[in-house]
Amino acid sequence: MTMHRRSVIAGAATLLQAPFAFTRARAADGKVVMASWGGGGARMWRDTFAAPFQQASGIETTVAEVPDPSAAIAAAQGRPQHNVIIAASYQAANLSRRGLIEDFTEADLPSLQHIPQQYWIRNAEGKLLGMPIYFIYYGIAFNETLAKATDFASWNALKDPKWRDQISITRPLFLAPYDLTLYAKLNGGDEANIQPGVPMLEGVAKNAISVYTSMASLQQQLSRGEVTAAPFYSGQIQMLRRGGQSDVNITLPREGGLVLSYILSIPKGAQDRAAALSFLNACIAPEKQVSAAQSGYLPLATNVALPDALERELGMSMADVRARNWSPNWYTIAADLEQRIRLVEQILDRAR
Amino acid sequence: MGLSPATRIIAILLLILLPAPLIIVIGASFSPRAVLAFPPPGFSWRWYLEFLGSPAWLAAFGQSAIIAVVAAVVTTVIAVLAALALDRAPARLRSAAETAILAPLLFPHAAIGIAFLGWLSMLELNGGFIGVLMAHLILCAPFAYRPVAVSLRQIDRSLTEAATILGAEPRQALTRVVLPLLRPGIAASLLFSFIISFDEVTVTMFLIGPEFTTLPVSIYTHIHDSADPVVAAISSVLILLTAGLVLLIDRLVGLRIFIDIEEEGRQAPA
Repeated sequence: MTMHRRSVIAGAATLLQAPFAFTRARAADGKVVMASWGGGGARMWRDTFAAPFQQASGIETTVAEVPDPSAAIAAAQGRPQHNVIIAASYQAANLSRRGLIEDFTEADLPSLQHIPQQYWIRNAEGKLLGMPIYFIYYGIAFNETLAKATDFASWNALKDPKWRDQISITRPLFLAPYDLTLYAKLNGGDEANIQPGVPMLEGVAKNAISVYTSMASLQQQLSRGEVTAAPFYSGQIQMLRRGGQSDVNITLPREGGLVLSYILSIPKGAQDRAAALSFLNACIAPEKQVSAAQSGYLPLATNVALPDALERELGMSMADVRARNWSPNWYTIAADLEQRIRLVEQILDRAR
Repeated sequence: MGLSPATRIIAILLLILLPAPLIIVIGASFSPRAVLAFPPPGFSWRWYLEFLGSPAWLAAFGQSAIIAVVAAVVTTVIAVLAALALDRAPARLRSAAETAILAPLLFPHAAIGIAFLGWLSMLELNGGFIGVLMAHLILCAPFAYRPVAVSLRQIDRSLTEAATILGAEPRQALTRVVLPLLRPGIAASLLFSFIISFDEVTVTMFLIGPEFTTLPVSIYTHIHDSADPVVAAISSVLILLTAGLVLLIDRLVGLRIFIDIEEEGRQAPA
């Protein structure tokens, strides 16, 4: 079969033009498209927040699962496909420093009045980065067949040589904003002065046999007894126990833990900002917060009364949880996040 | 010639070890608890019901299947056209073209994903079916082209010449002699392209959107947060579907078509 050169060139030119024929309009107005992590969290967002909001407001609301919502916004480079994202507070602060999310006044977020100011995330100009929505606390998760809660009455127990090769720690991406910050606080420093936390992090890292790469990874390791303990998220353990895995538990050492708060933000350049803002304000409704607490996400808002059964499951009242856990200034942490991550990587290298 | 006892033992061990991961995945999918465990501590259909009752999971599965079928067909058509065009091309041109076609094998998929993200974002095609399809076409091209090109080179040229001498027009020689003899290569191209596209996650992760995602990306997103056995249930369903597909292909066209490239190339069509 003979292929004429002109036919080949014509065909190639047609193929190159084809993408432009399919250029479509971006997301239509009048919708909320939210980026969320997958798994149980996304399911909770659909059932607890998105569906009721759509029913009440008539605004079509979609929850799209992505590996990391803040990474999705960073990758979009000002052309976001989502107009709402859920992010850890330090991630939102990082996006704000890079100019990728909107900022707001208190007038834009009237529902904020129910949330104590210590949980508000502000940028350098004093503007708000979004709606703080809920939190989990950072404690020490452990396998109950290999250890007891009293073994971890203090965070310093993680450095005890008896736990050598029995601890797991998270990746530097989270170790830097969470563990290093907490250890700094425990040793006389704070979110700005992290050096006091370095020796403690090195001590804990020396006992670590693994660096877990996902929630699921550590859930498996703890459940199977491959590791004895790890700094971890309260909500994850609560759901694991609810799902029948009663061998794992979490304890809050006497020094307290860390408030890992999450925030709803609106990416810059997103469509339908009004609908997104309406969604942000609607998510603080008490009944939705109680429902989220059933999935392990504790309310930051003070106008929410948790059922007694839920507080019994937590092992303490919400007032105790808030009192015993520290909420750092995440914007300060995000200021030099890359340097902190590199520092943590060096600490891990030294510990090996 | 009989097998030695050592060879028999190795063969038996392989027959036991090779399907072991499948058995473990299928077993773990029936666990009633929220973590993967084998042997499972009980029996439950819970995770199958979760998968089959979830519009999100089913949509991702359907979108993956559609992308894979379209990518397989389109890349195979392009591969056949390319192989035919390059078969008689000068060696230098063929070598350069084949290098370009096989180039996606040389680059890390993360780099390809970032490149596609930038390009598709510029065209406002990111996050949809067309963008993901375009990426899959590029990724599947090497796996589609190779079996077709190899199959084409093994066809005896005298068969085409004989057809021409006996009065067949070039189009008839192509459709009635060459393409039937290319069947093994085309079948292999379709199969490999389908598998590559269906399993693709690294590049696709950069290109999904709120209204479009694929099953492998959904699985990856899910296991970041949950270690529950729904992923094992999904894998078991895919194993079952694959086994069914293999039996169907064997019934319709025979599995020899995938391995007998040389023999098919030497035989004239009926």
